[in-house]
Amino acid sequence: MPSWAPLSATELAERQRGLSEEQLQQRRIVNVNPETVTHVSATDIPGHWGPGQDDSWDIERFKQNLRFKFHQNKPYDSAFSLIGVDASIANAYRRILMSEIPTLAIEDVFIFDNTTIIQDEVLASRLGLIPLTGGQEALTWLRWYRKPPPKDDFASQATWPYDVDDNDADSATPNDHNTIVITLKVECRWATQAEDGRDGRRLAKEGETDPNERYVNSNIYAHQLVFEPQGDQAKHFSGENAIKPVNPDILIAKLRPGQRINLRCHCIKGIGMDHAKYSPVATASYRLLPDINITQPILGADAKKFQRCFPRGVIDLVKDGDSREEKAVVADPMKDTVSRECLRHDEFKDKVKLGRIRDHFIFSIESTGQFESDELFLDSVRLLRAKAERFNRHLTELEDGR
Amino acid sequence: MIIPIRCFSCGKVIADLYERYVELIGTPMDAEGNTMPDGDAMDELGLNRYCCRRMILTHVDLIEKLLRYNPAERDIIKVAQRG
Amino acid sequence: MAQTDGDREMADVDATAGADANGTEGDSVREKQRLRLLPGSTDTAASFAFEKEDHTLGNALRYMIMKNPDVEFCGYSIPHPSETVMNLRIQTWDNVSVYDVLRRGLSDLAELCDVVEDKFTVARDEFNAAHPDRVAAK
Repeated sequence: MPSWAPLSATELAERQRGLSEEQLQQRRIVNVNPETVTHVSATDIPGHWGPGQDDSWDIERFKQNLRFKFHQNKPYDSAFSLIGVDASIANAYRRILMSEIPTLAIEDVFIFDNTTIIQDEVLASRLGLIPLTGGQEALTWLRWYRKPPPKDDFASQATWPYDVDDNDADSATPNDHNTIVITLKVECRWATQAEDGRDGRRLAKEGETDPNERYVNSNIYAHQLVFEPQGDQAKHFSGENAIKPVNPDILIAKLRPGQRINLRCHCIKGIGMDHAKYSPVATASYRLLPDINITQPILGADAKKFQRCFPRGVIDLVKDGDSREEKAVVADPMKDTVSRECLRHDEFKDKVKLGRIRDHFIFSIESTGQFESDELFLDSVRLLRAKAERFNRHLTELEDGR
Repeated sequence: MIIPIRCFSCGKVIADLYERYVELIGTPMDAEGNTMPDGDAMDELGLNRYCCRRMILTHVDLIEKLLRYNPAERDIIKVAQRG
Repeated sequence: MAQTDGDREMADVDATAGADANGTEGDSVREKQRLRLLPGSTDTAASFAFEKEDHTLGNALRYMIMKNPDVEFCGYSIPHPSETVMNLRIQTWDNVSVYDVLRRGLSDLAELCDVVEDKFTVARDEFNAAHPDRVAAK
């Protein structure tokens, strides 16, 4: 067994008495001091607290300690507390959310005609950033497309065949199983009496300045993109499930009479690691729950000043039982920003301790609209599980081959 | 030049909010002709983080000026000036 | 393209499992081996190279393996930022095999994810039922 030092008799007796609830609670706290932050690392590793404590992995204990508390669960914006896991696990979920959950986005743009003042490459970049959505099942039906590297990129050419999926021989060529085609063909012109019921030229002479009145198609929006189902796609992406931009009113370009756009886009499934446009979340972040520990009562005018050191709603003033003075109590630490303002004042010295709770993660997941936020979190959990299982299989293979 | 599709920092889609923002801050709200302050308009559009707020707040819509360099419009302007 | 993970990977799992059960596994459904043993390894002290993995799996797995009392040392590193390789070092006490330790770490991690998924689903459904507007009262 490990080579930690044996305990003396008194130490052992103390250990066996067990830890009080307070001591256990104290171990969960990251101390936020005026100039430093201490007790940052997790201490639940076997051997850290000596032989008296069993910190080895126990799924039942984990199940008991793990808690979820929802604060908000709007479809595309959810916030919840994840309590009782290590930072490495919570961080893995966050990283997967941002960079490994696949979504659909425009990857290649073939521009046949672009006489607008938006340059080709800028236009293509703008199109790529538009989040696209469609039927959830149909999107999972979509396979990966392995884009061959550019001809002048020798480094990726050297490693490229590695990326080709053996199980899908067609993955290197665009086909109906891995590529969605979207076209955009618009031309701006003057509004005419015959077609639009107003004469743009005449309005302009009369001093009309609103482009929407004078012209037709002067603003190009994302809802003008036309999805063109290829092959099998008509079956999977029809009606409700058709591929469409999440936000129909995204302004793609502005045109003036005579200017034209005619292009065709290939959309593929990708992950945020390759390009941020594939990331299914706008933000996926967590923060630790702040902890404010008032060790000695703060009364009267001090209490008022103490309250003002925190954002609104963090500290409440209550009438103290014996005296009629007001006393500061912690109402809602969740609202605190841990600005440490209260530590700058001498009157609060030794009366308050600030900290954060190490295993209480307040997650906030804002989806770009392709998937619902709570489903995204579940996907990230499943993906980490799939990763672990994959390497379990690979380990077996490695051992067999050894 | 033209409003970016997404916030540079966090990736929230903002290109669909800009026209609504311009409308909000440009339309008089009361009898005295006061318009909505920028901050309130951004709150209403759901731009909570300061990264997304700066995208909208500091954007200069230069494309409106560049669009004026269009031969198709020139004759109309000429006619208007003459007449 | 950096990675083949994602929901396709879930499908791969089922496909492989099904093929095994039928005893008809062909080479076509074999995945590429992404785990390597680095030279100089013994049964109680070994370094593994995980290809196409990063801190996401590295740190989580490091934590799970360190939770095992048989482990003397476990750490991971990414030797070069432009190579997508993650190295994991394990040293064990008392002649415990590093392979067993790694296998247990991976299955513990998978088990943990199951628990998280179950608890999350329960908490979410309860919350949605209790809050039709989906915002907690404050």
